Amino acid sequence: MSRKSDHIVLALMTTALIGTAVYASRGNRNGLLRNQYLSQEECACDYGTDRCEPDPRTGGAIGPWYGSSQDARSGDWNDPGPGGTCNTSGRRHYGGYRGPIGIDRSGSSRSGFGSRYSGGG
Amino acid sequence: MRRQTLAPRPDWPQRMAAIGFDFHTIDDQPYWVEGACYRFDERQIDELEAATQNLHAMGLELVEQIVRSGDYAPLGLNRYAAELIERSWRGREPALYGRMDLSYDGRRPPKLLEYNADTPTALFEASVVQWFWLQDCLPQADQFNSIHEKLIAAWQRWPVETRSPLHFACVLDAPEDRATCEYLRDTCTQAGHDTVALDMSEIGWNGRAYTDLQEREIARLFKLYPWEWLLDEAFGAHLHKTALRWIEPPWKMLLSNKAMLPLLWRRFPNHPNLLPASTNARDIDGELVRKPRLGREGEHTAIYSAAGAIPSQDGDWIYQSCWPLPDFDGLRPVIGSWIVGDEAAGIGIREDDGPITRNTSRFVPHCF
Repeated sequence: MSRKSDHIVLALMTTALIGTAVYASRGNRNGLLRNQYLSQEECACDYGTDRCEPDPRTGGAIGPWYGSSQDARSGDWNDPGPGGTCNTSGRRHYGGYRGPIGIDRSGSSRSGFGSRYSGGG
Repeated sequence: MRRQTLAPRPDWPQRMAAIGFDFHTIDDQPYWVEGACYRFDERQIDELEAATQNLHAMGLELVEQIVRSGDYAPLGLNRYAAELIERSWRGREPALYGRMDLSYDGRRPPKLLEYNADTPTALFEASVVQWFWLQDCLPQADQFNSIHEKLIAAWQRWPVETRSPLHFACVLDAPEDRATCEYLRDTCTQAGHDTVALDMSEIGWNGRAYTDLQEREIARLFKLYPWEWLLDEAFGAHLHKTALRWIEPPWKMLLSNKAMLPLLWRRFPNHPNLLPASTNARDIDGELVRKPRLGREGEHTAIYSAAGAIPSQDGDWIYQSCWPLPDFDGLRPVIGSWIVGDEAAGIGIREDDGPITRNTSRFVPHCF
């Protein structure tokens, strides 16, 4: 019985993918923001229920992270955008909508790992 | 076991490029050896496979013994590391892969030199590059190498989470690390997982969880970065605060620590696949090798004619009886024998002009 793999197909590994260029698409290196709302309903009106969570700091709700600039947002199809459009978009109209009351800029701190050059061996 | 010279494929650099192998030459020195291979017979492959499987089982038995006893002192691990190890071991957190370095000449039993159980590289070369070489050059021959399909099967044992991708982090500026990480991410994707790649420095901390660049909380993280470094760095203080599942899990800290060599020797004395090893050089008769407890790619490893010839024993050193690598006209191969999940999965060979395999050693394909 053969000991070698029958076939090998690579899904991601190509010359271009191994190069650093591919990693440009793995996320936005710039700061991210998210909107704070007085209520879950208002947040859901902008983003939908599943993208909002309670905000223990305000007692209201907080939306998903989005890119801080149009450039950053346009490079990421998954970016939810800056919100604030509930009453005008008409997608999920909510009569009590007052819009975001603040912006959370307290994204994660970074560079707490990776101070050394190479990890493998 | 013999070293056979072959005609290089005329277009081999292009063939390498086509599969994404972009570090076959490093600093103008060859890393991939195109014009040769090591050829085994079937009995020898059986012997390597059995030894790898046995050593893996012995390693797991040793982990169980250490966790039961709670004696981490010989490994230099503190209580904080021990808590992570015990939580992951008792939680049966699965390991993905590891590479044992074996000295083997085809005649005597393979001997375990060390076990890179935490952050092994040279995986893509062993799994993919030498497989394509075999298809091109010796299509009728066989190769001990089912690493690729075993990796995909291993990833398939992790549940697919639609709301939470599986993250991969390494030092992206290091080409070999990047290739290993990206290859593993490739196999993970083929197993049906949504994946995200990160540089180690891009991992964030939001006060309750590690995060990616989109502020998603990381639930499962493959990291090609040694545990001892994670523990030592600024974000290491948060390791115990999260339920993140690490790949490799913290209990791999035990197997990747060279202090496991004397512990294995003590638990399985005179086992044919082990070499005498100790933390005291005077326990070892004759020529011996001194290695740091934690170290990679031959770093700070040295050979001495006898214990008395060692200038100083200060420091965290492990001493192992010297079992020289076989010599094929001045070229000395070490067998990197891969475990994927809990199975012996194949081998990759690196050779050097000197007696110690280092990060400048070259990869040579094999067949049987």
